[in-house]
Amino acid sequence: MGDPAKMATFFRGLYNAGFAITQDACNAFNAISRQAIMDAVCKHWPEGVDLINAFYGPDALVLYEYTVDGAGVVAVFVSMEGTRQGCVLGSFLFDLAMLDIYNALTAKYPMFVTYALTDDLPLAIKPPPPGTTVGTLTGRSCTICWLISWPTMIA
Amino acid sequence: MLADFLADYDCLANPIGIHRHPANGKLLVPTDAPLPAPGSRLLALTAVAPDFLIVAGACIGTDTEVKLHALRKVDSLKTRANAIIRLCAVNSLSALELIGQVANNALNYHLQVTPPHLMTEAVATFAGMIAEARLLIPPHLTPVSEGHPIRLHRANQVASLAKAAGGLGHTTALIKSPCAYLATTLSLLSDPTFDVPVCLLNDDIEAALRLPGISSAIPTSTKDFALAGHLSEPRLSTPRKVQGKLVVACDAAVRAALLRDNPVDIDPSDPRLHESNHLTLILTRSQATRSLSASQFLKASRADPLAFAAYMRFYFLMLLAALGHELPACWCHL
Repeated sequence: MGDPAKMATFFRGLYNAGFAITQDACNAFNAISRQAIMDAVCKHWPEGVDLINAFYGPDALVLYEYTVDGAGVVAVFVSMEGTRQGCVLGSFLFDLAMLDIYNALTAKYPMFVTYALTDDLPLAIKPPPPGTTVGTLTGRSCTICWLISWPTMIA
Repeated sequence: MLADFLADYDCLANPIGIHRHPANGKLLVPTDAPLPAPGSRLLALTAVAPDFLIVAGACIGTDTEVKLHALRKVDSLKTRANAIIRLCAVNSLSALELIGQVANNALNYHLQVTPPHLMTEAVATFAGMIAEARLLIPPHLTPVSEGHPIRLHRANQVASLAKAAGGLGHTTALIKSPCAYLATTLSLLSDPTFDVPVCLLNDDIEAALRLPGISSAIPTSTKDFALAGHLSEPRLSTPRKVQGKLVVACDAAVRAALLRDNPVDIDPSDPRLHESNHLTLILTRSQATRSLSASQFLKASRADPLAFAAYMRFYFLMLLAALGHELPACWCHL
């Protein structure tokens, strides 16, 4: 049990009073720019530049085995983007590359509750105080406080 | 404002190859809030998830959806359990360990992050699945599930106990669920990283404590809590240790109930005598079970699948004789 469990429980609690969105990055570890990783290492962890260069500097072959119509196929390609498959530093390097982005977003939008967990960036908006149901908006019953705050939040 | 946030995220992340997940990156709206207006800028940037959302691997949303998600998860684990059952014909000992260490633990994360009152049905289904898998060793013998219901209940209770308590270590999800969730919430509340108002979690905590047997099993003093098991495993995180102690405390409650319901020193005319004999039998065999479990990877001590399966049935009060069948030949070796 680690931080994922805490984060999930935290946002579950928040859901009881607000709403949450999540921003899972798509194919994150494979897709992130390797140059962005190297730049982040230079900026935030200069002592590690030589180490990361040793592992990520030269291109490396990736062997990929799969099956097509029952026949085994082995594909070979060059690993040029993302963290390397199975690299123990993968999560750390991804976090490092995303650090400035997450910091910029949380600084610009302090009204949102955000906690980043690698490629998960759940966000919650505190709900307004309980109000009175006044009718419907877009066919859905809602409270008067939501009617007041909603246009601001989703503008 | 939310649309601005998403647009800024895309603006910053897309150039380095990161794009929002089209299926998971949705907006979950509380039931009392209005939906975004059709054609709004927000809807151009993200979709609305009407009922639930997956955050850090946990289903968050309406109670109905959380329950359904848990059931779907349990259903997806049947394939894994069936694969282990097929192994029984080759190596029952390994299969039994895999049922305990792989299949029985497959739901652990969901137990940690889902309030137990929303997991009740899924947990019961899962516990039944594990119990059934345990009884199917090996699959080509007479199904033990036809045995006496009380015997099967006792057998499953014993199997759920820790090995140190004479069981198989197959802690049932029924016990783990509230313990795991309480341990997570306690850990969250004490973590300075998260600024958590306790009131946000109160309902779920109280619901967990209301589950039968939990509040009475949890130690009431710090001293009793410290004595509830000896979990000095350094690799375990503090929440896992807390969860472990809660489970050990519940184990003790199960064991006490077993002994209370099956007193060894009872009148010979007591109709429960037959049951108590079996209980005594299985408790005295716990040491042998531990030895078998520990030696499964030693080539010299691998047990014959059929003989081991027969032994385990005997251990768990599942005598074929109890079903009215003749004992198979392999029993002669035991």
